[in-house]
Amino acid sequence: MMQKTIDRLLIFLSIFLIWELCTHTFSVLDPFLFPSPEKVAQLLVEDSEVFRKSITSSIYLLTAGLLLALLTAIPLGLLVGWQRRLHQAVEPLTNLLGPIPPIVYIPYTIALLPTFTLSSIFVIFIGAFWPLFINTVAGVQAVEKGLIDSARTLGVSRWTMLTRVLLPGAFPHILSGGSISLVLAFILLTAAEMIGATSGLGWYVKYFSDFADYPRVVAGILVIGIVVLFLMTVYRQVSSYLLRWRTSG
Amino acid sequence: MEALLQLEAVSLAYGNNASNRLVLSDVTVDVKEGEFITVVGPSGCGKSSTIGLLAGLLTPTSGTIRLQGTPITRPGPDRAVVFQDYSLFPWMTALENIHFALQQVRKATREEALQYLHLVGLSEAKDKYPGELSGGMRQRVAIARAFAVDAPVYLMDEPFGAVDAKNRIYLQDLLLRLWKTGEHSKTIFLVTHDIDEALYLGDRIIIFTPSPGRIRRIVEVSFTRPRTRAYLVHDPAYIQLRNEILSLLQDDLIGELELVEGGTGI
Repeated sequence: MMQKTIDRLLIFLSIFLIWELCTHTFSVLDPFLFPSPEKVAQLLVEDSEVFRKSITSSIYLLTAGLLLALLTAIPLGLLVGWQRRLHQAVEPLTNLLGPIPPIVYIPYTIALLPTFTLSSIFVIFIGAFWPLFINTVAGVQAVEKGLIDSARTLGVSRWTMLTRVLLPGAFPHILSGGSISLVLAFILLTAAEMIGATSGLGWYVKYFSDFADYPRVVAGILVIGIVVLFLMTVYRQVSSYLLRWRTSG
Repeated sequence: MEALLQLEAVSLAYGNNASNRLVLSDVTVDVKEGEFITVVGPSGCGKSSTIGLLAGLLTPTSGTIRLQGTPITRPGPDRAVVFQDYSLFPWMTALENIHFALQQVRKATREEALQYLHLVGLSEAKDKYPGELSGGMRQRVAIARAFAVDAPVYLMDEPFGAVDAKNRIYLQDLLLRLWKTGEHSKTIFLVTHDIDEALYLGDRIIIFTPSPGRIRRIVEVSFTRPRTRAYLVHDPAYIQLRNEILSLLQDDLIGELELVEGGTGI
């Protein structure tokens, strides 16, 4: 435990040191393209208000798109996974639409929907929907037949079967689909922001790269990294809580 | 008195059309209300399939199964089932599993559920998930859950198979106690591979032949209740009955071996 922390710190420190030596100390790298750590740190403070606003705006879009996906993909996935006939009917459609890289929807949705906010929420929704949906279906189908039989002998209603048996039974799959959705949603978010937004983390990076302000671009990338790391950490915590019954034994 | 459970010329085949594999063939038996039936037979004789049919999880290929005169077509809370494994939901704690089952039949508090856990001596494990319990403990929770729903019919598929010897004796006695107490007399249909268990618990023992499963014989076990293990094992009648069943099962196994021998030319 202790050793692991030390190792990690060492890696961080050495990268930081190399960065510092290559930029500030010896100026090996072009300062126009490669800002020093001091410069980046200074910008993080200087632009903190812009970053705060960008994060708020990005998280808003992300949450809206993800929530929409969550509320549609999981119930639909449960139904499709449970009803064999429905699954067979829907499967070709899933196979056709599922693999389309959601990024290609961006120009179309911008034309289709009245505001940028709506179109980016929609694109994030599409991107997050398929991994969640496909994994929910797979998760339901992976629930042990014995458990379903056991529930049936207890005389559970359809609703109870879906919510208390199939849903928790499919959680392991749903949650691994969810982490794909989260990553994909973030990629789409920043891509959409780079194309059409006037705020947000993707906008920040794109905006300042248009002015060739590369120190700010680097600072923006760093902030995005930290935000994604934070979101993934929270997601992992939630996942391991929901799957606490699986961890032991 | 009319039979509670009636199996009439029941056959079961898996797979569709030509490649059917016959699992059960022409099984006919009447079970009286309040009767304790035990079932023994070599593995693969369709014992578990019989439980599946009675539970309504499987549909007979031919023949009929009736409960109080009505054909069984689907599972229902009038038949509680204890499976060999997979009975419990791994995402619910021991207590939640019992509470969940109770809630399917009536409004129930967690305290009520806890009483049943107490009955099998596991009240301190109430917040444990099945994954944290031993096989034996899981099975005790499954039995507690079955009794919590208080069904008139109990279908048990080797419920004590995974339980250690000491707990098995305890659970067998508990089962007999629960069978006799309660407001209504319960009818139990218990599959086992343990002849002593079948003899100790049952009013009648159904002996199956190997695949396809047919009823080889139905043996009356007329020892008075409550039975005492220590006396029973020394009772010449018990020993004779035990040997009889054993030789019936052995005949079938030898028959099966010869069949294989003849077929493959070993």
